[in-house]
Amino acid sequence: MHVLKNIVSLLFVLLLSVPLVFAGGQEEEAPGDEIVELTVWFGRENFIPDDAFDAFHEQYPNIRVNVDVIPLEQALTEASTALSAGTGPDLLQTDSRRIPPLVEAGLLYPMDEQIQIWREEAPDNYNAISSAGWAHGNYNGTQYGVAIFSGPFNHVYRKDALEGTGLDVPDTWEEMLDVARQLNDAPGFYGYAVRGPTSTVWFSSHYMSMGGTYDENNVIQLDSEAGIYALDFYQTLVEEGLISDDVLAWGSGDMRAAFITGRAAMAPIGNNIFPNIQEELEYGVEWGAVPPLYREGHEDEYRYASLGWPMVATVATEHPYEVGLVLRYLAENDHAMSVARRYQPTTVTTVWDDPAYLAEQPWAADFAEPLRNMTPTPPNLYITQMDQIVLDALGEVMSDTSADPAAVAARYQEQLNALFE
Amino acid sequence: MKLGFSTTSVHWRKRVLPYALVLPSTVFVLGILGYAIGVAVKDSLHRYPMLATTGTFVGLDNYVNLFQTPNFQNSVVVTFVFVFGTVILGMALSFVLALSLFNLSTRARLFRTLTLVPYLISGVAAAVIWRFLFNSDAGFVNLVLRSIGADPVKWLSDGTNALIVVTLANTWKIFPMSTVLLLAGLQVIDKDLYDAATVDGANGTQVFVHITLPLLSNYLATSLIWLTFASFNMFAIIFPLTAGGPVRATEVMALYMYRLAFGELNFSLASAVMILLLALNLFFSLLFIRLFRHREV
Repeated sequence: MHVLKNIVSLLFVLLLSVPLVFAGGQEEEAPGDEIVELTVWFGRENFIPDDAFDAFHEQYPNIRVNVDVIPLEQALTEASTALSAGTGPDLLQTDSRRIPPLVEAGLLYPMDEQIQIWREEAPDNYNAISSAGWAHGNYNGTQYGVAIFSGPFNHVYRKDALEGTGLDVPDTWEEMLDVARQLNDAPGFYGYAVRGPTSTVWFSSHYMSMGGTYDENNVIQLDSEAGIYALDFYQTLVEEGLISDDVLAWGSGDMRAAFITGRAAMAPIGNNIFPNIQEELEYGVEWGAVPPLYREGHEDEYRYASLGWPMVATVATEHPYEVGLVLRYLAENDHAMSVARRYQPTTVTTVWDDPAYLAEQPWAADFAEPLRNMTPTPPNLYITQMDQIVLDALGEVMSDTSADPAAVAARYQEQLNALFE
Repeated sequence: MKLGFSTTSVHWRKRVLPYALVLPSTVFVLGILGYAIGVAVKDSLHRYPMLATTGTFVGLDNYVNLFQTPNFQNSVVVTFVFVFGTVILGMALSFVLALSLFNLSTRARLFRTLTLVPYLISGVAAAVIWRFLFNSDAGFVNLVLRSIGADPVKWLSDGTNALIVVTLANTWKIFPMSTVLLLAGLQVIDKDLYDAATVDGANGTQVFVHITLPLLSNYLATSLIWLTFASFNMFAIIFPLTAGGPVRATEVMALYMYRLAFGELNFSLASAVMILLLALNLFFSLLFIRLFRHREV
């Protein structure tokens, strides 16, 4: 009987404690203390800051950032699938040229309002971002995010090879061809290395530096004077044997390896590879780099092309303000610098003059000024189709050195224009 | 009563059990494949705006557009050269190697295992090996050519040569499986038949033509189907080796389909290419089965 009485008492106490437990739980889940979970897709592991959001989590204990790496090349299709299934990220990184398809499919979230709040709440952080950084996250006047990292291709050269033959660093593409011709004498050694018709971004960098422009639909103008010149330039490289016989099958790794291992005297290489070159060669002694050259007589049409990899908000987000906070964190000097030291240049201008950054990267001082004047490679709704057409044109002039670049340009321009008809 | 139970049991075991045993795998394979094919057929009959999930029914327009596209026409030609190059070369090599392995002594049977090595290497690794071999500047093949005083060849940057290289690489990668299939066929042929033929005075050629070949017909058909299937669908070697270049010279249908889907984000046209590839695979499989239907010796 005594035991039964104890059991009944225990049950009674338990029964009474249930509402207390729930009341306690309600207190813990008060709106102000709600944990906000954000999913962020980076396009490369290298874009993640060194502290991997530790400082952010310390500053904002109620926001949890979950990071994933989805390669830039797959971001479009992966985001499309995931967002359609309701499992997409709040923030994703993409090639800025590919923003239009995402916008047209209704997958991106306009961040203008949050950017305005950012400007008001953290003006220093906001103002530190270069115009190219903002431009890469903008499409048709709407800001979908911002590119904290944006990089150009530069003209790198083997200082040892040039000085050994008494040649100067060229200023123009015409001079570059002459230098390449003079350096191209040893078997297996080439004056220049470039990626062939397997990617358009190197070609568009050359094209823009040669004065090439894009029309109102952001379509490349192959049949313009600069377009024909650019195609002729690539054809000349093949025709005169100034580049490897294998160039038509080359990837970017082949081009970089040719330069680093001393099989090519010059090449167009992005700043992200500079740390790798520096591991093998000493900057200023064995190698050097300058922004892309210009076309003789067309200096005023020169543009220093940049590619951008903006972080853009998606329609999956229910927390745009918190997404804005993540962008601010990524744009902070130290976090942006932690990536720029080992990978792509940042658009955060305070990094460019940071003594720690300048001390670590011997080329940084040479590029501080040019980086302020970059022109974003424009986005395009049909970028994937446009790229294929440009590759076909480039492939044709490089594989058939008797082909007339002007005729090839005219034929492929028709295909490009047809994309918008 | 006991007899009745036994009859039912035997009947069940002979008539029902086999179907019951294959049912799970059949449902598994057809379920997944059937769904994929169903979706591809539907997508190939619709046109979708880029990255959209809903599209407009366009009937056979996507197929008509495909056949009018020069790049697709090119991929069909490249595919047939690539597939039949591989099939002819692969079958010849498989036959020779299977017969050699069959006649090996027991102690040398390690070679049977070694034969399978190319098949076990990943496609990407195989492509890298072949890239090293045929690099114009520092590739092994050109080094050999130089050492004998010959001019180096542009293997990967010349369209015809590149197609030859990818065909060789593909053959090297997939022919070991057809060799194993033929070897299995050789091992189940009753040796008494050979003895009887020898007693009757048949020479080696007659034995091969009238005993070996007919009794291998099922295995030949399976080998041909394997070589054809694997080649029509090959992507893993070509993409890292040439990426379809130079200038689309090695862009087979499987690669063209990939470019349409993940390069141009045109999933409707890519689905149409997939259906056409499936139809080609089916056609040649049925053709080989019919051609090599088992004949009595």
